[in-house]
Amino acid sequence: MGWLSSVANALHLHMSGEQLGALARAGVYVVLGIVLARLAAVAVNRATRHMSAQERVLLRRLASYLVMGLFFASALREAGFRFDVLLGAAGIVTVAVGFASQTSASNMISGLFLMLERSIAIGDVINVSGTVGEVLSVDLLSTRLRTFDNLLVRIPNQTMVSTMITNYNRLPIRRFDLQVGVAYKEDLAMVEKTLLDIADRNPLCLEDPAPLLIANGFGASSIDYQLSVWAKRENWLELRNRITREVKAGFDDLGIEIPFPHVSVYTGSASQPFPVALTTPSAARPPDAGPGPGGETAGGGPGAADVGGRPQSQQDPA
Amino acid sequence: MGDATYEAPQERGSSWWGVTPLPRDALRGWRIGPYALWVRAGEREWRLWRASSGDAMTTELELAIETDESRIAADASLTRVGLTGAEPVLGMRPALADRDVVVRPDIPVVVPAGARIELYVTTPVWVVTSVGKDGPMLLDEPSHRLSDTWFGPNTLTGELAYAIRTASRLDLADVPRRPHRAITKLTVINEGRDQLPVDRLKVPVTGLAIYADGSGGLWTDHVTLERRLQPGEAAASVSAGPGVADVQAHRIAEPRVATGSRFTLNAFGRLFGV
Repeated sequence: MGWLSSVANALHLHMSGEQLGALARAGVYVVLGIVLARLAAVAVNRATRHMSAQERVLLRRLASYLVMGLFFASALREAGFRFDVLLGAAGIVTVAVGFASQTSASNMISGLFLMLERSIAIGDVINVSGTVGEVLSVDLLSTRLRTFDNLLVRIPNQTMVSTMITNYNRLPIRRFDLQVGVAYKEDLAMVEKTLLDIADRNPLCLEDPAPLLIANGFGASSIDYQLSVWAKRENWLELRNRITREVKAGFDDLGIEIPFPHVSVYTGSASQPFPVALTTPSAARPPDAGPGPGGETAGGGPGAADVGGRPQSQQDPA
Repeated sequence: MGDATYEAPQERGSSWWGVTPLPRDALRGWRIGPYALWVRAGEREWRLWRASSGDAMTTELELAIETDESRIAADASLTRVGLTGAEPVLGMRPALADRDVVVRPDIPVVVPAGARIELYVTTPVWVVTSVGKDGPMLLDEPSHRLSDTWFGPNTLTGELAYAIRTASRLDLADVPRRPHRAITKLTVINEGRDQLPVDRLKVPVTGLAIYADGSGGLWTDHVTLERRLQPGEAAASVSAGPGVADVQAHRIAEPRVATGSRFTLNAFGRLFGV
């Protein structure tokens, strides 16, 4: 106790030996509380292995806070703190703390609702206002996400409760909608059969719910289809990649064109096409001089000029 | 699956399961229907290449053929297993799918009210390889990749299963024998008051054992699916053995999941998918 007296003297605190002893006991309570709270957390963690990660974290924290709270209260009492005074001032303190910690209290209550509602759990991949990431924890005040580019995002629980959340992990199967357009000249029956055959052959694509093909109508440059296929949640990304590749390969094999956006230009009347001549660059012209005003006509029959069409590499809109 | 009966290769005939001693560092190849396997057992490392031809109907069977790396399929996937001092003996055994299988007959069969039918369906087996008979498992993979499907009344409730389309033959003599498929006899009993169209059936293969007959054919336990008189009620039960009088078969693999002989009660939709 001598060292405690020395410290008290150095700090010009005039404390009796009894007071110093009480203070030391309070310190022991605090340390003991921290150690026991950790042990309680470990014990709860072991006893709840069969539960979900979310429930385990919740129970672990509850046990930890409970033990720590009890020991801190004991430490305060040991140090001479009078709880009846605290209770007497509780009304005033509540008002003061309430004003000061309005946001924090709101976050805490929101966190409680989040945990009870169970709309998200630790490990789920969710989308909150455009931020997609894995839920690391649902804490007292905030929810922490790890995005796929490894950024830590802290979202206040109040925001989590009041905003729309999309949970990608909750249901075991998921649909992928492939949007694809084909040229107006194509045989649509063959296009539809090709798309459904591709879905049928892909083992990742669920047989039931059956693949769905929707004709979305006549687009500006193509007849647009939507191929909707279902996959096991874990296979969704692989299916998305594979089906896109397979549709492209299937269309290429059959010569089905997936057109780029293009615009047809007419000179005042649909029956009178704008005359266009393809030219070959003159050897005398410098390479950066741009197209010349005239030249040889290549395959120069009259027809509507497709501005765009399949673009050159430098014009590739993609 | 610990009760598998193992025999020496020369005694197996056309059976691909059992144990096979491997020469150290030499390559040996198997072809079990569409599934191809090449194994090299080294002193410290085993290498296993696998490939699938994708032809589910093939009846090819090659056992422990001497080969070299140039004959390994270009698209084969390789697994290296670290094994120091393991005896170079390869154990192989069949297992049924790791999820239940939803069978869709090419042409639906109708079971009249009060009638019973016997259907034969074949499902691809998984090939389980291990070091020796009871050593560490090396691979457990399908002989043929099956399509996934969802079996349930809607996209919220149900379960993932595998889907296969079969001829669902009513006469056993018409059922083709393939080394990578096991035959299941399904008895469908319709005690309802109206016809039962069998256009989709869930076969609980995870709860079935595998049997081998004398000619290298694989069989599963006999399954009975019963539609009860009460609307919406159905039951499935499993009887040990193939359930075919002419077939003398011995049990070579246990079910993946021990479910007991009777399960899936009061859920007509869970069996017949309607």
